Amino acid sequence: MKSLRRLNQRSKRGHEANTDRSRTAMKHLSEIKQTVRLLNKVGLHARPAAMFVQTANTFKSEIKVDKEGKEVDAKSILGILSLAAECNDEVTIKANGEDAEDAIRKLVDLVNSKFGEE
Amino acid sequence: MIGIIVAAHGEMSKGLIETSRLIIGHSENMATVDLLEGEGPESLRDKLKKAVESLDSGEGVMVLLDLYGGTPSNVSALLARELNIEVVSGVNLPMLLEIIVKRASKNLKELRQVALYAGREGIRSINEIVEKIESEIKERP
Repeated sequence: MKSLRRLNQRSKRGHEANTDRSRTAMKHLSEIKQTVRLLNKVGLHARPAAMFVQTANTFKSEIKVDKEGKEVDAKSILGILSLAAECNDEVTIKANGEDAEDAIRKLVDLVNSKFGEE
Repeated sequence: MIGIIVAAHGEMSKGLIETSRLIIGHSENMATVDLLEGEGPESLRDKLKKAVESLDSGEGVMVLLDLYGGTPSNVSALLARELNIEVVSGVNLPMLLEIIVKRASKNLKELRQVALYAGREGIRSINEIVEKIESEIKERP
């Protein structure tokens, strides 16, 4: 009897561990985000916006950019331009999908590189 | 890759494509088809058909026109029956830019919606926007 109970507890523990793992997996698929400050002189104007959008379009994840509560599609030039984000503005990049982490890293790097402007 | 053709009166197409390169950089698989002064529909039809055939790698071609009801529009309406093309009129820079950046991740039918949306969304009254922002600032306590 004792051993059965122990086995039962062990299986419960095993079950919990599995649940935790699936949570981690789900977490992996949920949204990740990072806030960055625009350092280039002109902000997200036509050319930098085009570079940003072209980079975003190389990823499968759904990607959004938020500036002061206004959220737009990071894969749309019109969307990014409508943010009118200027130098020193902070924007939050949000990604959801299998390549979300990679997408965030590449886009943050692009912003920090000042879009090769200077 | 889905091809892109800008077909328009005069030299508008060249201007649009060159301007898109200024913003996005060089992009493959794009062509212009110009309807020149005195040119008839047959000649335009041949030019457009040749351009489509040279750009279609199996995924089809987006044809963006300047004017609904004009010669390029009538000619492409006929060509749409025999070629794998999506034709959208009222081309503007926002429409062209959005099609260029989204064509790698969308199919031809989806690009039709992208073109329609971007073309319309790109038309705004700047005065209206400024007036709205100013009135919001005034209303703040």
